[in-house]
Amino acid sequence: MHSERPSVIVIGGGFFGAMIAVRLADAGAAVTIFERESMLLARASLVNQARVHGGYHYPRSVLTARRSRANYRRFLDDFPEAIVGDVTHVYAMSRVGSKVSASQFKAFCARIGAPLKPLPEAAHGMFDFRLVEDAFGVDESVFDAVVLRSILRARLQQAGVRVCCSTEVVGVSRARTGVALRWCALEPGSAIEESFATTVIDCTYSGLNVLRHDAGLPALSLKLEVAEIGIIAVPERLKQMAITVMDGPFFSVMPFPAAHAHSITHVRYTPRGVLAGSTPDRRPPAYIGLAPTAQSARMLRDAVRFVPALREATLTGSWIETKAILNVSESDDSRPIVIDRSPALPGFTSILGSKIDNVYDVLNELSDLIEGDPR
Amino acid sequence: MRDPRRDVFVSVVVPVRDSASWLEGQLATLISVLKGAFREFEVILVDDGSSAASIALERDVVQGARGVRLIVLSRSFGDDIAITAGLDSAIGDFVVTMLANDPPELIPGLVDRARAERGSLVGAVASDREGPANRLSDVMLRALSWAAGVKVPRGVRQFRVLSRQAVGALLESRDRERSLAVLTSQIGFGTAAFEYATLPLPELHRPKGPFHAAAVVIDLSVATGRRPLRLVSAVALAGSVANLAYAGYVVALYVVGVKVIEGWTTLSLELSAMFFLLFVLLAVIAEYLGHLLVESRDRPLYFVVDETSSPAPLDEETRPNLVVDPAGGGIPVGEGSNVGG
Repeated sequence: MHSERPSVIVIGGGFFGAMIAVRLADAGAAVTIFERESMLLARASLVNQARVHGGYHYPRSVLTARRSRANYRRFLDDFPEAIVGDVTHVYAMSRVGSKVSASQFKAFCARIGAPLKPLPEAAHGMFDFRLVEDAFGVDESVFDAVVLRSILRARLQQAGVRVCCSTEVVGVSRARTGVALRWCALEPGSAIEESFATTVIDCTYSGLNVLRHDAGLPALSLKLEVAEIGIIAVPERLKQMAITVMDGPFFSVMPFPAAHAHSITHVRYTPRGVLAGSTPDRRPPAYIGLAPTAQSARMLRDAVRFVPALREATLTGSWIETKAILNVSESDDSRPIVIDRSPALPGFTSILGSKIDNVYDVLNELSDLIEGDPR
Repeated sequence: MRDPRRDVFVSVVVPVRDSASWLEGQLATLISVLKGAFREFEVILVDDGSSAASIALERDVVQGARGVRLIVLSRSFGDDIAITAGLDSAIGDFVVTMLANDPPELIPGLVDRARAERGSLVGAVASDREGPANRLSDVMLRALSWAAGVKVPRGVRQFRVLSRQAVGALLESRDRERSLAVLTSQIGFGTAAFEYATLPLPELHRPKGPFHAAAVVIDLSVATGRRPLRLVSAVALAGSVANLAYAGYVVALYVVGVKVIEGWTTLSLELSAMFFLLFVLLAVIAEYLGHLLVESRDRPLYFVVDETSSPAPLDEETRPNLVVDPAGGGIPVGEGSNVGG
């Protein structure tokens, strides 16, 4: 496995892992991805809400919003085929209990240069204005994770990245030249094998601390939050509509192409608990296609108060995924990325992305990651 | 096996203010009553200006319970506004509002009645209407009923069952000076009264005496009804008619040629009467102006510091679904070891 080219192993074939792999391969590295699931983009990239953030979500953190806005355009340019077309995106400000008023929200959007339009015709009469102070049309998008997967699969192939699915990495350690990595195919009777690489990049999101714990590296300060998405079939007039009610214990209803339906997420009901500590001994849980839970029913019940048309929506299921949230970003809702290079294990880097579109912030950091490495 | 519990979502809103004993005792009773009677429920505690220690205790209790939500207001706004904060975020088909010493055991029966009658119910304490505090609140309510022009049952407190429709109507009214007792009667929606006896628990807050009560009555009368203003109009009209008559009288005397002398008594009487009228009018108009001023500022009714909910752990739903119903149930992503714990 030793060659002229620097060798890179990326752990985790989610959106971040795949994007990083393509970038490093393009820069001349020999890259391999190890993915535990049977295909790429099978976990958080698929199960988490399909919003490409346009900055509107962070009225309490202007910096995050500006960066989000810039990355939003890059994502749209980069993956036009993955964007679900013809969706009307609407943001509404709650009249009661919102941390931001409609006029503050307008001022904020002007500051970050995010367009705010009057409520589109299609959304007229949709809100109960006893509860909603004002509503606007916004310039935001929804992506289809399944399309994204096939685009990335093609790009990986073109860049010559080796992809090993159904393969679990069970340990990393210091080697004479870089990092030694123990892995195991997820088939009965498979033996643990060992590979070496100059650089190993861990992009396992909610699984980051598992490997770090085994390697004796200090844990990242993450909160692992089990989060639920309700899957709903919406009435015809809401089919091409994405609704977000801000800014507090409210909700979003938007197309969820991965389930061929709409998703509902709710600040109050989506979190199903926090995994204790960094939980290196447990795999963060995820479920696709649960029967609708009572918690999802509560989300819809609250949403109906704001958007009466949702009374005709039916819950068809619940999906659950574990989110990794950096402990510092809890208060201001910002989602900074983390790139952690441990001195104790040269060549090993943990990367925590968060929102799908801030992958570009990570990519900017990558060239130095490869050149700055001890060889 | 059929679930014998009622298939209805009930929200219960309780304002709390430094009520440790209730949190540690009665709250559990309330939850067990709800759990036994309804498939779905939520208890919304609205903290209305407790001490930091009490808020910490409330958070602990919420963490240890199921189906409880805590909304912490930024200061004490009074029971009516605290309950409004709860109503604003309650998601139930029926919303029960109550104070700490209202008996939770009555809730299932009351909800049944409200469902059957497709309306709302307001509770009135029938027994033991003696004592100066009760008398005072009776007088207040009667004054308010008059000002608002509606019938508010005697002995009414905060114990009531509201239909979703009624909650929606209450949402529409954002008066700062609010009495839910009057508002509930004003919106209608078939509010029937029921009688009950409060629990022998200490009141959470003491009545504040006649001056405070008078101030509340004036504020609320101005906020809820037009009758005082109507009264002013009537008095003003009567005054002007009397004045006109008096002027006619003076002119008539002049025309007839009666010699008028030493008019000091009548003149000063007239002056004092007119000034009395004028000041009464000014006072009432000032009240309304003040009210308009406060309302026109359009500030939020209350401020929420934060909201916490009881945990809703996964195992309650995923476990049975995974085992019992493989077809429609959950499929863990990846292999079985994903079922953490």
